[in-house]
Amino acid sequence: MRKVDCEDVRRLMDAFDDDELDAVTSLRVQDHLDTCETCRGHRAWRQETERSLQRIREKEPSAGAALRHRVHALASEGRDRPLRQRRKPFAFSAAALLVATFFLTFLLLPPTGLSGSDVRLFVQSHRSVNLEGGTAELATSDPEAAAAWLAARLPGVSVPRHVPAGYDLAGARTVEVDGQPTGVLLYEKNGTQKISCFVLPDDKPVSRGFDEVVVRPDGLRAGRCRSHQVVTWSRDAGGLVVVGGLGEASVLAFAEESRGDG
Amino acid sequence: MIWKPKHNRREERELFHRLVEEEIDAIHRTAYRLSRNTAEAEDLTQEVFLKAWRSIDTLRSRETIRPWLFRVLRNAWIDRVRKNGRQPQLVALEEPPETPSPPPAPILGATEDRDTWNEVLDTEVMAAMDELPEGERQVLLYFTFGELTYREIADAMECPVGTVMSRLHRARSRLQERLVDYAARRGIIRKEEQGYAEG
Repeated sequence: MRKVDCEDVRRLMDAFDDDELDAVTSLRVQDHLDTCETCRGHRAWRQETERSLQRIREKEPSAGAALRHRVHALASEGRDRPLRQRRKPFAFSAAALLVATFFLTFLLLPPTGLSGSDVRLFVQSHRSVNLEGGTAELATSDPEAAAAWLAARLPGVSVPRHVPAGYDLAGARTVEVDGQPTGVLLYEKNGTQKISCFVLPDDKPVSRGFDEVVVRPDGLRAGRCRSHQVVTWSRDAGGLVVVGGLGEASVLAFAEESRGDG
Repeated sequence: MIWKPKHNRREERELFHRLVEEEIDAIHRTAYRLSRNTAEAEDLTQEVFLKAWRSIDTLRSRETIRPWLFRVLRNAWIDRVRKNGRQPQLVALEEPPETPSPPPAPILGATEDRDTWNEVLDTEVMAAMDELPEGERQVLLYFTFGELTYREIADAMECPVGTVMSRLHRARSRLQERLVDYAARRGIIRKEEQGYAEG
């Protein structure tokens, strides 16, 4: 049996782990891995990535009950009707919704600078501040100092003093979110988990752009956007948007505890 | 489940309902990852099963139906992208150069909390996945989220199994490389001290 070398094994490793190799080749790869520490190291990184992908898969939303119901209901219709005809009720509903949204947005509501009320902009800002090398303009662990610093730059805003349990305040900075000056409080845990709390001078609810959202009776909008946990709410002295790349629990707990803060 | 052409309407319905229950989560997960949008994922899922219902009398076997469903999904997705004028590099016409293999031996620092690392890792992997060339991204999504075999992916994407293997390998290499860089940047590993030379 011809032995395989490192190059062969790296090439075959995916198929080996995916159980797509024939028995003989699989044995050759296994023999090589038993004796080659370097290839075992490569395989360890590969498995680390695969475990991450599996975790992401398990967290993905499954098809909801309403969607299942709609899909099952397809079988109650005749199979010969054209696709366009079946989709008409949906198309009509969507058009009606669009008209209603337009009407509400532009005719009934006062001007609000709505372009800044999309949570995706805050997620984008969170990523650029926290994950792509941005830093706090004011490095401090003192919530009062951070609040005073932000209040001086954004007069009239109400800044939370609450620090999420298990997190440390890393500092504060200002950013522009769609042209609107916005304060940010930055929190860290173990130097890796990050939470950004955006302090808005505008008290209009930030409600658009969620991938999925639950509006709670207490006024909190809690949901996900681009794999981030986001909670938004409004109050008299401005709005708040909390974005975390990680756990839902800490972001939500922060929002709940900060509601009456400031 | 035995898939045979059925001409009895009641049997066709039973077959369809079983098909929905068995495949809807995989289709929906993959559609969600493709579009990154809940409403669009639901619309795509509905479109796939509508076509399945209309073709139920031609679907023959379990082995062929999964690639068929994912082929419908892929075509529906491409149609949407074209209609919306989006251009997410739909198909990588030219294969990008081979990415280098990742360095061996991931060793977490002793103080690094495993759960924290996993969560950070997952965020990084998701971001890296979204940046893959479309051809590689689709193969990775079909394998990971659709749970298709190499052969089924090849059938769904109408390409040779070898192409599936090479795209999957490149996609994974890109993710691994990014994770290694990330881990090194965060100080979780140190490339030089761990002997991360090509073996």
